[in-house]
Amino acid sequence: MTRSRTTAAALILAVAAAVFIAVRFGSVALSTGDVLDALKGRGDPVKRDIVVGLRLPRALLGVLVGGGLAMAGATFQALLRNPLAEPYILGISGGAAAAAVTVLALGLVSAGSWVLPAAAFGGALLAILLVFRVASAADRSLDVRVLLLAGVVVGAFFSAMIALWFALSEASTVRNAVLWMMGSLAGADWRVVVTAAAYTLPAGIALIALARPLDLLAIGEDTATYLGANVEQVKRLAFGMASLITAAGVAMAGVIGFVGLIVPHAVRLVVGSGHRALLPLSFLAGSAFLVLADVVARLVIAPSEIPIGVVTAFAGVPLFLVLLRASLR
Amino acid sequence: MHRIRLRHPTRAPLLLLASVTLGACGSSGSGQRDERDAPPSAAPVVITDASGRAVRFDHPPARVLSLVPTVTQMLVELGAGDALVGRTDYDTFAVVRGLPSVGGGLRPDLERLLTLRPELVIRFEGAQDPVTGVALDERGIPHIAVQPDRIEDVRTIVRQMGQIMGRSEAADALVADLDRQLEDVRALVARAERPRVAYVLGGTPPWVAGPGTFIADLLDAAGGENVFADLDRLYGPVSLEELVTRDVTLFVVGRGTVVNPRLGDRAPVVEVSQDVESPGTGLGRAALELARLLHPDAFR
Amino acid sequence: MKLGTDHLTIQYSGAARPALDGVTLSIPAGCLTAVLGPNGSGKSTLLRALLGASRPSTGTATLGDRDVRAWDRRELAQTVGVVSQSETIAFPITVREMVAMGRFPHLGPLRAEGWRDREAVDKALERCDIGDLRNRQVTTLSGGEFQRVRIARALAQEPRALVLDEPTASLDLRHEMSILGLLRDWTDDGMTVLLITHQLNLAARFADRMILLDGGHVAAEGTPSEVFRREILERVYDWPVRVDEDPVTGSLRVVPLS
Repeated sequence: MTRSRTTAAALILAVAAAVFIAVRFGSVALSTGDVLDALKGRGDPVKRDIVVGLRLPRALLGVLVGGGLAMAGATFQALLRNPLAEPYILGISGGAAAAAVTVLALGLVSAGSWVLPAAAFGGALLAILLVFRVASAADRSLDVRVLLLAGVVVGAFFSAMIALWFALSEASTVRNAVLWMMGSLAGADWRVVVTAAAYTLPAGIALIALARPLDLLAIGEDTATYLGANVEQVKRLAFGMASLITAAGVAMAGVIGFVGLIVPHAVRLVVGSGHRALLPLSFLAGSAFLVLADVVARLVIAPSEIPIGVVTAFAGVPLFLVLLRASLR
Repeated sequence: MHRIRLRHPTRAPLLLLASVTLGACGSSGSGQRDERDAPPSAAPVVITDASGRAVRFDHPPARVLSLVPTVTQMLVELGAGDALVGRTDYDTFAVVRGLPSVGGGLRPDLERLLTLRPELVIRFEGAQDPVTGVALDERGIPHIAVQPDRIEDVRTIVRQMGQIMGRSEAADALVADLDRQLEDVRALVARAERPRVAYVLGGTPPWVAGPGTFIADLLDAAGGENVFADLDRLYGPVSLEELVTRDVTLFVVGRGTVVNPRLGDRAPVVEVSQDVESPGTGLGRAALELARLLHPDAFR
Repeated sequence: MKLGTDHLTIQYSGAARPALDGVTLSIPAGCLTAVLGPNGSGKSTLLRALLGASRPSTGTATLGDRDVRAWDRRELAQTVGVVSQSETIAFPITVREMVAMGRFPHLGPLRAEGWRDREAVDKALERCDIGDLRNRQVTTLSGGEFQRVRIARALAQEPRALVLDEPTASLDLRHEMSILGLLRDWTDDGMTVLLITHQLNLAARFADRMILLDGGHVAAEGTPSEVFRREILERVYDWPVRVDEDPVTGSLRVVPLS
């Protein structure tokens, strides 16, 4: 227990530091004084706008999306009893991307800036619904192997749909869709942050409340039943909440990979698999990780940006290897 | 590109040389160039941009950022270049090179953009950039979307820029120059036989210019027949089979485009400068260049 | 805590005959009862029915004086501890964490662990003689140690009955004997133990009562001497056997003939 307390404190500090770095540094050079003034509501209005209107919401979106994906990843790993599970494993990213590409190809984004995220969100939920339909048609008890297979199949279907749109669309649409799919926090403003928080925070709290049943489910469904858990209800709720968090993340920020897979494993190496610690600590670790990755994505080739999914992959792999070696010693 | 009034006899030969050199880059003769020097007029202007939004200007904006390179050029040619406060990485010509860049035109860096405090941003119409428009709206920064598909669109944009910057007469002059250049080219090749041409943009499978594009307009003005006038959209991929089986006299590509060598077996592949793919006021020159390629005899 | 069934029939959809056909039996409290029978005789089905995990086609399974399916899920888990046939561990977990899961029926999802719970876990670890393994990763344990962890988890539930499905199937002699010895001790202390096993002779040695299933019916029920009759066993297992008394332990012994 003390180990998780220390880790929690360290991670909270890490998130705070990451957010501060994200607000302090950007493609326009501002001094620490400028940034602090801006945060207090003083100083040049353009600098205030940059710090409070651009950098701060972007950092907070990184906190919500990174934390949410990590938590969702840990949950899927427990529910599917599979260490390779991650938030997109049940076709969520495929559905979201297919919806986004459809909207882009049909030129519907001109109706408003809300159209693309709403479509991506809807596509994500549609994918989940499809996966559950396919899985329960085969086996009413939603056996995890059937779910995984259904996820692969549904994902493949959406990939084909995306490929079809690519073949039929203008080059600019294709490029646009690919860029969206690679993920980016660039569209962050306060409205986006509030929307993301409205989904991620309640769903995250619900998941933490399910921590103990998830511990049981991670061992086995029979075991969980014999220990008194309402397995069907827990599965439905946990899948629902984790999917909601993932859908919201994808809708706001595109498909950012790697976070949901690796962060839970890294946290497990430090505090073990008990979900009462694993879930909130994964949130913190995922937040810090994504915010820092975004700083790198923004600054390395400024004023252009590296897609954030590239940074998470390039950075995450060696980080994880270091952790793994340290834990095995 | 100013034509300077000759005042002093000793400067005359130098100025003549300079103006001839500069004039060769611009349009051919007219006396109405002086309007570019006149101060801008100041009446409220409402522009409906390419996305259908109506934007009102009570006076010409003093700080302008154009994310569309051809429009940047137009603004300079209209004499409004002093109002430019920034550029994109793709604005490479000398006049604006000293201005700070906001990165790409499609996803400009917002921090740098805001630091420039623009009063007007000109952007590409379309879904290519979902973020910039929203960010500008949130801050009440006026922006105009342009979509130069056809030569007619270029005329519209020049006039719109002229209206906004209070240089309508200069704009009319620019448009008139463009039209005259195109007319001259048409006249030159009027009686020649029209070769069947395909303009290839590269890609696998290769993309071609279809009807309703400024490239199609240019081919038409230059005395050519667009083989793909029946394409179902502006620019689209066609199979290699289509390209080699259709009756094509000549393939035209922009310099630096990578094309499948199989095309060369079927018909000659000629290169034009990349300016041909740039829909702006330079289209007159582009038409001339194309005409030279399609009808070399008319230029002997 | 006693268990029983009353004219219990379970037929799976699409099956030619019922897995359990009108079975009525009783598993008395405070005894070690072994359920035996050839493959496909209905042992696992009986287990699941007794635990309320499958719905009878007709008849009932009872726990205490009530229909088992009328029990609240958590109340049931506070009363009966189950050790199923096998488990695979996908994620790292310590012995103590795994045994502590046995407190879930009492804690539910939200309550924090209290001293009572810690006491129950410690006691369970001690009774299964794995106290010094408590901080080990479960994946580093031997088969016998792992099985004891699972039994300790069931004990941590502080149940009045323990149900085990082939608990010693893949264990070596030493571990097998030690686990059966533990079960025997606990039964002597008042626990009700129900054991599904293939091991005829060990069952005869350790069990107070036996139930022999055959094709969904009860072929024999009672003390080892009532059940271990040559004619019954030969009929059920379709193999010639001889039944005698082990000279050292004194318990009945089945010897298959060739």
